[in-house]
Amino acid sequence: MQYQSALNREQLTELAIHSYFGNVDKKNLDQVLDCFHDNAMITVQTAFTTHAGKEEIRRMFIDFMGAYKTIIHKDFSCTVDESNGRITACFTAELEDDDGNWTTLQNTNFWRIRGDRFQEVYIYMSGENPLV
Amino acid sequence: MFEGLFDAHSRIWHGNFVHTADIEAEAICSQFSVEVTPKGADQALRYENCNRFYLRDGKFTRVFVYMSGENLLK
Repeated sequence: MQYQSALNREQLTELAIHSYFGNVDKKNLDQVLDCFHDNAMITVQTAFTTHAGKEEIRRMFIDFMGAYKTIIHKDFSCTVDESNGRITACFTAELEDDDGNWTTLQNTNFWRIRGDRFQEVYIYMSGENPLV
Repeated sequence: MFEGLFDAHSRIWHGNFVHTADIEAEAICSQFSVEVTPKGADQALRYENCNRFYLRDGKFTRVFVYMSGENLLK
């Protein structure tokens, strides 16, 4: 689906990396959800898992933030398609559970923006999906 | 690697592309579907993959592939 967005290159990067991932790492649930439209969809394409609508996305993030005491996303490399309202980032995700076990993933996210928020998010993971 | 892919399958199809094209960074990230039919098999395997291509002078310098199933590029 193609959407209309007026965000420029810097604004797309700010939304995906700072407003979204910055708040995921701080476990700021409300600020994370502010990045999504009410009918947004997240699909973990490598696990054939979809979360449709903000309430499903909220439930998924509550479980994810509760499952790990430390969440770090870093080393972003962004590909930005300003004219189509799309941004992609590859990054390292480091997750520490309550027992001190670390999981490291090399993932790639694709965001499609409608207006100034996420409408569709696709995630490709290098390992087991923690977004269930 | 490509010889192995081509030799192992009677049909290879890539489609449903959605591209994130970044001229400034000389990079393109592509989401797409794949159908491959192994030789001797009746049914195709379906994948939902993405590639990240990084270019210089119009040619690939690095390509990263995520697959939704077993790696076909060995």
